Amino acid sequence: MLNLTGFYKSFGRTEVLKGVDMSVEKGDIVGVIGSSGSGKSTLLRCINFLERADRGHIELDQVSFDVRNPGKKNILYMRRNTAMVFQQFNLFREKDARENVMLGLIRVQKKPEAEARRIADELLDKVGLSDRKDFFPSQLSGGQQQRVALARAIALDPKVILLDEPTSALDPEMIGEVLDVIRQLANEKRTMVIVSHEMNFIYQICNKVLFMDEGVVLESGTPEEVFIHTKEERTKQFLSRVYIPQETIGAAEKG
Amino acid sequence: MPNLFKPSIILEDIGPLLRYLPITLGIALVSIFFALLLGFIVAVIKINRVPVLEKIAAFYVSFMRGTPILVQLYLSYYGIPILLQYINFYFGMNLNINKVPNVVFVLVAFSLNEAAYASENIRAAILSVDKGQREAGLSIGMTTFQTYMEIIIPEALIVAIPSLGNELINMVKSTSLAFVCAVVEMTAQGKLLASRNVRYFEMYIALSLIYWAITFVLAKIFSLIERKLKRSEGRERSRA
Repeated sequence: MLNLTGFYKSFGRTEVLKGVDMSVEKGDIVGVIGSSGSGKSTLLRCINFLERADRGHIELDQVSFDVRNPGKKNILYMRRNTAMVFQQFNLFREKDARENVMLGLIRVQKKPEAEARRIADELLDKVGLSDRKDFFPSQLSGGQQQRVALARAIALDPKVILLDEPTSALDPEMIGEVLDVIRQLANEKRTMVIVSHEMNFIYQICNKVLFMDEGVVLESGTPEEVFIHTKEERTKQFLSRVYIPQETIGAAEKG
Repeated sequence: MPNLFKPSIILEDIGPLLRYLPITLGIALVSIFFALLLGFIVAVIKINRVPVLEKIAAFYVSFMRGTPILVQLYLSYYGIPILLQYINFYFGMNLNINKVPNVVFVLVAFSLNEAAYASENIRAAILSVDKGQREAGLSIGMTTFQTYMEIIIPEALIVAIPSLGNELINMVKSTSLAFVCAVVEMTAQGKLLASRNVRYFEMYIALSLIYWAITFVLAKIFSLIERKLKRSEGRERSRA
């Protein structure tokens, strides 16, 4: 459904992506892991053209094009069929929670206000914010803001949801509430690409995992293949530093 | 010497002066309107670093800020008729220079002058909006134009309103210079009136009281607008 081939991207002299391929099927939940600066976020941002890749080919359902001269129509197509959840939430700060969710429905999908309102209310109920609908972002905790952002993302019913470190800016006690919502979306078989440092979470909910290192996908496969039957030395090294399997934690607590 | 200064004349002067208040306010409001329009365009040119236009914009802003408004009024007053004559000559048109009302020279000078200052404020205000807001707008599929209209401009306006208010106040005061283009607004009218009884001092006190009152009211209006625009903060206070 979503296919990237040969993505390259440099910022000045720093090459951030050096030929990345990625293929996402409908219903896939793809986890992208790797150390900071390995190009994970840039890859996501290139998919919905918040960054312009220097080279590469992209395909989403029937539409496929070269990213070097995409044209406004294709960029808009990608943005309207993908949704982005940002590390810093990026809620519209002068709009309340409901308006944040409604804006795209009204302005992009041209839905009547009443219908947009109904959808927004429904989704805010779903992410557990029934009593916060008319709160502004500055009145919400980080976890609540990110849940509004998730509601905003699914409101437009995108083909793929891109999550760029959705819990990295959160206090530890708020991470759970956001992960719960993402898990709920996973159960609904929504297609997602998640960049995250929550290794246990990635291991549990993803059906594909990519390990990125210095701008390339070094290793990919099912979570078991990448996390347990790790092939590459670099991946092992990375995982040994960041990944403590849940079973081990359980055992330690019991012992 | 009991007659050197008669405060009662001040009150008598205020009535006739107020009849010219609409002209003063009109000049200020029309100028600020065009100034904001042009200032916004200049700001967008600078932010997006549009080639060639960026250089022209920088030159324009530098010139407007580097020369006195009085000189700019004279440039407009003498320059525009010359420009029109050249246009007539080269494009075979027949624009009647004598039919251009004097107030046009004033409006052109004030608009161009104010736009230069406003453009810097608008630019700073737009840049102060967190880039995440823009990215969020684009990521939900809005066009750049929609993102500007729905998100960036409303947020930038909150930042820009105080300085734009100051600029409007300055503009109102600057209109007193319009007489150099032979436009009779409040100050010019005051001078004419005072020449009859030679009570200049009383007249200028009356004038200053009126200007003071206008700017006081404008400042109040702008702080009200600012509070209205900051929806999120107002709510925070009321909930606390």
